[in-house]
Amino acid sequence: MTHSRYDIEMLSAYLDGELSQKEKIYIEEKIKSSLELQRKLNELKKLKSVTNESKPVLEESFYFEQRLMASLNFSRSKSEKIRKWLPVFTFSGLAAALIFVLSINPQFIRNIIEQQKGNLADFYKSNLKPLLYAANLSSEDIFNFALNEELPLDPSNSQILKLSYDQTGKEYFEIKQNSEASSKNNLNNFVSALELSEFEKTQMDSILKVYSEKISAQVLVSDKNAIAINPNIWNLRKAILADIITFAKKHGNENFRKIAPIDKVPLPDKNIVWLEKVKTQSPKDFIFVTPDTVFSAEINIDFAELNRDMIKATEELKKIEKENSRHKILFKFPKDSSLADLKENIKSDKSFRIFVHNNGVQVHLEKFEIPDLELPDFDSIASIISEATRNFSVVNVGPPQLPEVPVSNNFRIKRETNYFPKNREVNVDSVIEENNRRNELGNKRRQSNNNLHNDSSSNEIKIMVDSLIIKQNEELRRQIEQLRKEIEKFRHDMQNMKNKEKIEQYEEIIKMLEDQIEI
Amino acid sequence: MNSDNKKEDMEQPKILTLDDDFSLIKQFIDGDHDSFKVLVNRHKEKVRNIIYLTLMEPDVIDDIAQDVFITVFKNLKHFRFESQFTTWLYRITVNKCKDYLRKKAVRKIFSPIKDEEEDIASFRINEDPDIKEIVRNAIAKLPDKLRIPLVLRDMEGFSYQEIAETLNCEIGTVKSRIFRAREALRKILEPLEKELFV
Repeated sequence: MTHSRYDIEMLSAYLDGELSQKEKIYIEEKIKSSLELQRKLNELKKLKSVTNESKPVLEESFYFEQRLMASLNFSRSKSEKIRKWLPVFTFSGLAAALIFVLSINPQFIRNIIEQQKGNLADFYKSNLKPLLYAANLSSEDIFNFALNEELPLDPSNSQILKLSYDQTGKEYFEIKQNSEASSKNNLNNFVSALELSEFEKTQMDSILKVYSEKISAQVLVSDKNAIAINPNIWNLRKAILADIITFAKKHGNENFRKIAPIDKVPLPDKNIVWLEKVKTQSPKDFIFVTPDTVFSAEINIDFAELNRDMIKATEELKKIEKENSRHKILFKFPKDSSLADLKENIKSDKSFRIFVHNNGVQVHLEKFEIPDLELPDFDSIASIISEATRNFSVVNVGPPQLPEVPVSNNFRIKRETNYFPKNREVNVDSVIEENNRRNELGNKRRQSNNNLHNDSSSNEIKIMVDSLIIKQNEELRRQIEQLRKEIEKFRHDMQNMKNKEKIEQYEEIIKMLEDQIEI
Repeated sequence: MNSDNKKEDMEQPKILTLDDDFSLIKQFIDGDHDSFKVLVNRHKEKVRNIIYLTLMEPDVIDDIAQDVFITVFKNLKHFRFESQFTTWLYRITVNKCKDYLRKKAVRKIFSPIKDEEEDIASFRINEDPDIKEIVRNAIAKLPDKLRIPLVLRDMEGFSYQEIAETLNCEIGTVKSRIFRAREALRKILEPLEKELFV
C-alpha cells in the first residue's frame, strides 16, 4: 500500500513535533496500521539525526566587535562628511539641473517672469479708478493741460503728470511733484481776453467738460500707488488744444489775433470736432507706473459703463467736497522700491526707459507705439497763449487794493489772487511785448521766480522783482549807449591812423626802441 | 526557612529574557552605544552560524555578519518592539545571505564556464570518509529555498513559527519545504544509504 504525499509530509512534521493534537492522533493511527509509514518514519528520524550531527562547529571569530566598531566609526565619519558637504552637493546639483533645464527650454525663466508679470499686473489692475476720483479735474485743469501738458493728479495740485517729447521727438511722461505754484486763472484770463459772451463762455466750458471726462478715462489710478496711462492721451491733448484754438479763433477772432499771430495757425476751413478723431482710436494697452516697475498691460474698459460711473462719481465728489474730505492719492516711490533702486539711464524694459529723480519718475516710450492721428500741431501757439494768459494779471493790474493786514509773525499779506480789473479794455499788444522782453531775460531769473512762486504772497514779490529788472535794464541801456559812443570815437581814431600819421608813428616807435637798446 | 528561600531567589543569576534585548535597545536609543556591543556579543555566534549553514561558505561568514550588524546599528533606532529582536535580527541575516547568493548567481553568469562539481552520486569515499562532511556537501547541493528552512530546523533548532517569521512566509510553506528538503537530501544520499542509515 502506497501512502499519499500528504501523509508523508505530515510524517515529517510529526517528527518535528509540529502537528496539532488532531493531526497527531490521525497520523499515529496511520503509523500503527502501516509498515511502510513506520519504515518511512525511521528513515526520516535517521536523516534528521544525521543532519543534526553534521552541524559544523564554527570557530570563534576574534576581534569581531573591534572590527565592527571600526567599520561603524568609518561609516559614521563618512556619513558625517556627506552631511557636511550635502549643502554644496545640493546647490551644485540644483545649479546643474537649472543649466540642464535652461539648455532644453531657454524660455523657462522667461515664462516664469511673464507669469509673475501677469500676477503683478492683476494686482495693480484691481481698484483702478478714473482720475476724476482722485484729482477732480476742472475746466481750468483741462485748459492748462492743453497748453502746458501738465495734468494734476490730486486736488491740491501737488503732483502732476507731465507729457513731453524728447530730442528725437519720442514721447515721454513724468510723474513729479509740482514745483510751480498753480495758476488757477489762465482760462478765465484767456476767455476775458477774447471778450467772449456769456453764452460763448458756457460753450467753451462745455467743450472742456467733455474732455475732462475723456481724460479721466485715459488716466486711471489705484489705491495701490499705481497709475495707468493710456498712450492715446498725447493725441487727446492735441485734440483739446486744436478745439480750444478753433473755438477761440472762431469766436474771438480779432482778440485772438492779438494773442497769437493768426497767419501761423493752419486751421482747416471746415468745422472739425477733433475729439471725434481721437474717439475712434483708443488702445487697450495702458502703461502702468508702480513703485516696482513700469509695464504695459491690457485693460478692457466698458466706456458706456464708465460714463455712467463718471456721472455718479461726479455727484459723489460734490458731496465729498461739501464734507471737506477729498480723496488724496499721492504717488510715492519709496526708497526701498525697486524703481528707486535704479540709477538714471538704466533700461528696465525694452519698451520703456526709466529715469528716477528726486521729485518723481520719468518714463520714455522707447518701442511703445502711440496711435498716429492726423492732428494739428499747435505747440508753438500753445506756449504763446500760455505765456500771454499767465501775464494778464501781472501787466494790467493797477495798484492792488490790499485788504487789512492780519497781525501775525509771518507778516503774510492776504490778497485776492483772482483779482481782475473792472476795466475790460485789455491791451493785448502790451502783453506780447512784455512776454518777448521776459523771454530775453533767460533762465536765471525764471529759477529765482519759481522759488518765489511757492509763497502765497508771490504776486506782490513778482511785481517788485519786475520793477527791479526794469531798473537794471535802464542802467544796462545807459552803459551800452556809453560803450557805443566810445567805439565810435575809437573807430574814428583808427581811420585817421590809417593815413600818413601811421608811418610817422611807426618811425617814432622804432626810434624809441633804438634809443632804449642803446641805453 | 522562607527567608532562606527568598535569599536564594535573590542570588540566582539573572536569566536573560526578551526584555533584556529590549532594554539594551532602549539604552542604545537613549545614546548608550556600549549596549550595542552587548547585543553584538550576545547574538554574533548565532548570526555567524546561520550564515554558515545558509551559504556553506566559511570564507564569507564574518564579512556578511559584519554587514548584518552594521545594518542593525543603522536601523535600531527605528525598532518597533512588536516582535522579538532575534526574529528581526535573523530576518536581516537571511536577507543578507539571499543578497549574497543573488550577487553570486549574477557573477556566475559572467564568469568563464567551469566543470560542474562532482555529483554526490559519484562521490568517491575517501579511505577514511567523513560522514558529516558528506552530509554537509549534500545539504549544500539543495536549492536555497529548501536548504535554508531545513538547516534552521535541523541544525539550529528553530520552530516552524520562527522559520516562517524569519523567512517571512507561511507555516504551511515551511512545513512543505522542510519535507521536500528531506526527500531531496535522502535521494542525494541514496548511494550511501548503507553507510549512513544502517
